[in-house]
Amino acid sequence: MVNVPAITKRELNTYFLSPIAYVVLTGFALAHGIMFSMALRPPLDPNNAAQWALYVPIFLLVPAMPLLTMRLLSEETNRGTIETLMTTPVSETEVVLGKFVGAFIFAVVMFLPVLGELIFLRFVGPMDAGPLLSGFLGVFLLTGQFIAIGLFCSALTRIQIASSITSFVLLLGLYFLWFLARDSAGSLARLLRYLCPPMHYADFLKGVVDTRHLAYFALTTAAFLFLTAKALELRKWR
Amino acid sequence: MLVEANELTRYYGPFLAVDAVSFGIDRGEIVGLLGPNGAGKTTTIRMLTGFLPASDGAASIAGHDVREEPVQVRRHIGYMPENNPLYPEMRAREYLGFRAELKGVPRRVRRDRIAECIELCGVGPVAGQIIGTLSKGYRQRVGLADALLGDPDVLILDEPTIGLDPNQVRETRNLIRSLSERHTVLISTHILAEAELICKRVLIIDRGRIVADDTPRALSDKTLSGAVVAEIAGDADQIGAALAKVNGVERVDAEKTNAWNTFRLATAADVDVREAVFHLAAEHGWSLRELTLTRASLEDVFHRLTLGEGAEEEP
Ligand SMILES: Nc1ncnc2c1ncn2[C@@H]1O[C@H](COP(=O)(O)OP(=O)(O)OP(=O)(O)O)[C@@H](O)[C@H]1O
Ligand SMILES: [Mg+2]
Repeated sequence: MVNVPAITKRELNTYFLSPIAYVVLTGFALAHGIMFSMALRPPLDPNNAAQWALYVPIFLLVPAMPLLTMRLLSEETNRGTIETLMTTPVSETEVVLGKFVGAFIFAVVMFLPVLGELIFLRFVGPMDAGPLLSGFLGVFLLTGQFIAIGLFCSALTRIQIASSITSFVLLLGLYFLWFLARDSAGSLARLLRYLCPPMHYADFLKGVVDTRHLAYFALTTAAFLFLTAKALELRKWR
Repeated sequence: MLVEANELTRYYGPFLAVDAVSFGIDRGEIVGLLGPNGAGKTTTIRMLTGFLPASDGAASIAGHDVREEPVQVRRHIGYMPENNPLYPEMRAREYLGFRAELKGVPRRVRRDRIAECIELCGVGPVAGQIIGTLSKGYRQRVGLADALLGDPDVLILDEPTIGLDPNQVRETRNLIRSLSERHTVLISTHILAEAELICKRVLIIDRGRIVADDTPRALSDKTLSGAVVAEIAGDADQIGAALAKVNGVERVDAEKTNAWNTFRLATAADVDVREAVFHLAAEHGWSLRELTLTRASLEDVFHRLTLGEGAEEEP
């Protein structure tokens, strides 16, 4: 794992030089600001507004994360730098983790405006710390999961647009599982609902940190990271 | 053997790109992998570096099997792939820093090592520049500097001079030659002059098979016969007939220009008939103004091995 920081560092530097990344950054800040301002009607309850501010990412991350993650591996394959990268003494796992952490740190930067809004609310009135902290935990778990999914899609193709469309469709699909399974009981419906990210997200906003939800995000994220490393290994066999 | 390929084979789907290629490279050698476009040079090199797995056969570098111990293998190679892929948004020095870190150059010597490679490859003037804005020649130097960073046992360079202007080609060749004093080098090229200039040993690969493996000199000696060119004044037919009788001459081609005739005397590879021709001319009182031994160039060898009659037979 010694090579993870080097890869993360390069990934971050590249993000801060990438026009797309800035577009996503401003787009997210604008969209989130607009949605947040909808909550700013009297009577203004800071706790409700904060919950709303942390709820909004569940919509915004679906278009934002595919755009942020599409270049992670597609770009390396397309430029051919995957060849120089994978002929240095680094493992697939290190590459995947390095890129994951890099994208995650950039996403944290993307959430700074949300932090700004919460600080603003703190001046409006007192707030409960519990739901805020658990809400942020939820946001970051969701972000991590989306990055893992985007990273996986990025390993499948050298074309960035194709990568982002694939992960966008995959994320939408995960959300729609809820509609599919909404009315039915039975174990299949339960499984489908279990796979749906928003189903695990709501509790965090209420200040509940349930180990089942933690396990869900940890497992799915790890699974997609694992699949990404496998895809990187397997691409050699084509 | 520092580098060993044993029956390396690679299929792309049903297409056989590399067909049971075997060779060994000793420490200190500088070897050229020479072949026309699509011969399988890049495929072979990628299998050696472990980037592409072989369909069959095995390769090892510094005693480590490419398939079993890929990370160990990568520690011993400095590889510049075809087309020298780089990160265009990075600055040259920053890129080399990143690469040195990946290659495990210890932190305390990293700075010095990078400076050394920058100096050696002449990257100095552009070290602070963004790679995307570099000229092709400088980009190539950055790639070479990168290959050198880990002070590897083996340098593997896939077409290192492709797309450069003649001056830069010359500089790059000189650089590679100077590197070969400290490293074992394997370069691929389809430029004969390059292999002849840089390499002590040439592997000629064609349609996925090694068709020749020797020094450039030995290759031309072994594969093709030599020739002597003589320019003699006088009656072309008479002289030609006399020359044909000289011991060792296999064929005579004559070309008449004014009073002077140019004769091309084909001989066996290791025969030199110049002295005999001189005595013949002196005996008959013919004036002789040129007498040259030409040897088959690597180009002839290459042409013959990769296109024509000789393509199937192992020399
Ligand atoms: N990914 C691939 N899929 C299918 N065929 C391939 C692939 N890569 C190479 N080939 C084929 O394998 C053969 C050998 O290719 P290779 O790139 O090794 O040749 P080369 O000697 O490096 O040629 P060049 O001098 O043009 O670089 C070619 O016929 C090529 O078309
Ligand atoms: Mg090639």
